[in-house]
Parts: sequence; C-alpha cells; structure tokens
Amino acid sequence: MTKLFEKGAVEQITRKKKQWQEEQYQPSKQDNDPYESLSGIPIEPLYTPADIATMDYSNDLGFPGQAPYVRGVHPTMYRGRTWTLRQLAGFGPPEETNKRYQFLLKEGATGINGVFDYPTLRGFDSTHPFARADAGRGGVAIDTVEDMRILFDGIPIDQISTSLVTCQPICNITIQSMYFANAERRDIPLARLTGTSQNDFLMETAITVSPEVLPPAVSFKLSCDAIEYCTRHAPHWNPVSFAGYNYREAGCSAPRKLPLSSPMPLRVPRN
Amino acid sequence: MMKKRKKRILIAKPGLDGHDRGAKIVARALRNAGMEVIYAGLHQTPLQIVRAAIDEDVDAVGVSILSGAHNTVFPKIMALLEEADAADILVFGGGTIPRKDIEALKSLGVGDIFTTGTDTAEIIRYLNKTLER
Repeated sequence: MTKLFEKGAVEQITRKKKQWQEEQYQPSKQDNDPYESLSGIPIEPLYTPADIATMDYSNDLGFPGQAPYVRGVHPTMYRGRTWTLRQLAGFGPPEETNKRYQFLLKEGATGINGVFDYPTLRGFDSTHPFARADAGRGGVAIDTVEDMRILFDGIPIDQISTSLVTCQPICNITIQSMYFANAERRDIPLARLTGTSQNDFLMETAITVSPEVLPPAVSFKLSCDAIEYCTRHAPHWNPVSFAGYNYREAGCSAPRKLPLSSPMPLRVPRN
Repeated sequence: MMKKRKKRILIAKPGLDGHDRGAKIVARALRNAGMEVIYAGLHQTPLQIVRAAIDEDVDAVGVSILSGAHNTVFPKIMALLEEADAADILVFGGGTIPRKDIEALKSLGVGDIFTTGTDTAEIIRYLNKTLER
C-alpha cells in the first residue's frame, strides 16, 4: 500500500492508470472520436493526482479571495452571503411586470432581474410607429420615470438588489438614470442602492442588439460615464457587467470570449 | 431555349429584435436547395419588406418573428401587399408563434407558419409544392 503523499505514489498511479486505460477503458469504448469540450479542449477519460503532481499549490490554486482566484473572489464565498435568487422578468406594461415582481418576491426571490422590451433597449418610445409592434414584447415597456415608479411600486429597492438587463450603454444610461431618479423621489439615497447594470458596449456591435444606434467608441465612452457616475454617487451599485456569456451564446468559443470580454475592464479606468 | 426561372425568395426580419439565426439558417437552406434568396437584414418595417419584395420580383416572402409581434406585423404586410396589387406574392412565416395564432394568420392569407424546430427540408418541400402551382 502506498499513501498519496509518499514517495513513488505518483509513479504508481500513472502506471496503474495506463494499465486501466489499455485493459479496461479502451476495450469497452464505443466512440472513437476525441472527447472535447465545446471549445475544442481535449478531455481525458480520468484525472488523477498525477495530473497535478507539478502544480504549485499556493500560486496556481491558492485560497478563496486570493489571486489567482481559482477558488472564488470572496474569502467566504456562499458561506458568507447566499447568492441572490432572481428570475428574469419583464413583459407588457409596467403594471403587469410589477405584479410579477411582487409575486416572485412573495415566492422567495431575493432580488429583481428586470428585462426591457426592444423599443426600450433601442431608445424608442412605445408609441413610435417603428416600435409599436414590439412594445411590451420580450420585456417591459419603460418610456418615462413614471413608468419606472409603477414598475417598482411597493418594492423595497433600498433592501433588495436589482439587476437591470439594460444591454448596451445607450439603453443603460436612460434606464439606470430613471431607476436612480425614482429612488431619489422615494427619498432613498443612491448610496443605499444595490444592484447591477449590464452596460456592455459590445452588446451593440458583437451581439447586434442595436448595431446602428451608436459607433463603438462613443458607446464605450457612454458606458464609462455611467461607471464614473456610480463610483461617485452609488458606490454599492455595480455599474457594468463584463459577461462573456453573450459571446458564447452568439457562437464564440471559451478561448475566443476572453479577448472579447477581458480588455474592457482594463480599458475602463483609462477612459 | 429558355432557362427555367429560379424561385426567388425574400427572407425578412421585421421589428426591433436582433435574433436572426433562424432567418439566416432558412435563407441558407433555401439557397442550397437551388433558390435565389434575398435576405433583407435586421430591423425592417412591413413597408420596407413589401417594397423589397416588389422591387426584387420575388415569388415568396418568408417572415421571421420571435418577439411576439406576429399579430401586428403579418396583417400589416398582407394589407400592404394587397394595396400594392402584389397579393400574388406568397407570404410564409417562422419563429416563436403560438399554435392558437397560426390559424388566424392563415385565414388572413399567410401561407404557412413554421415554428421552432421545423426541419428545413419541410420548408423547401412546402415552397417547391406551393410555388409550382
């Protein structure tokens, strides 16, 4: 018997894995194709301590809340604070969506995840001839601060967090401002608001939510303006969400999504 | 000798929605089946679609709607075609359209509606059959 950290253990595991692969795994394997992740990364049939024998434990893995953050960005992760439960919701006029928000909160949601209709995302009023057919479709129709008041009527926005699926900066600057204005009217200081805006300028160009609304440079500037404002006035609000998810949805691989999503957080401070 | 005219199809994506994968897949499948396909691009109004159909002298217009705006958009397209004396152009559709709405759309003169999950071969068969008549 060889214990895991004794001398010769890794060699023994390597030898035994090879034997297992040749004698048991290969004969019962039906599929000859290489097994790969969606991004084309080959996946071994089995991993053992031999695969991490040369790993530098402290520098490659480390501890939660420490670089390189393999074990999460917070020291306590979900033992410190449970994740927010929020189901995507938004349809028709704000009155209807408000009822849905109230229902979800009653059923145990701990946050709001608001999605807006196409005219709102693209900066059209619901009554615009070009927008009418899509008003209230795929999200809630918000044209005014009054609509925003109705949307969050009776919802304790100073206690729960809200995710605003504002997609690109041109929509975000309007919707986030309306959300903040509504909070001020309810005498809730902006510093007490918690939540997240999407505010991702690549949503316009790469994901084609609205490629023709603003050129990328201007859109990025607008995104940074919103971030700057929040840093000063709403410190608990996440003013931007750098998510690679939408690029994956649009067909890009995991390695390709990184050069799309990671330069943004690096460029924002410079702007 | 006259060469047989290829079927000409306009694929159109009305409204403000940007989900155009379905429209592009259908456009490509019809092209591969030997048809002449014109893709109108994103964010078209019914009027733009009808104008493009007439200008391009197409046999059929395929309208892709996933946003739920079908009950507004299809009647408008049908009315505009009628107005332009172009009601002979076949209109068919695809996307996220509830079954209960499909009959009503057909009674307006919409040829057929192909919902999510339809085999592209079925759309090709339908067009070949319907446009032969």
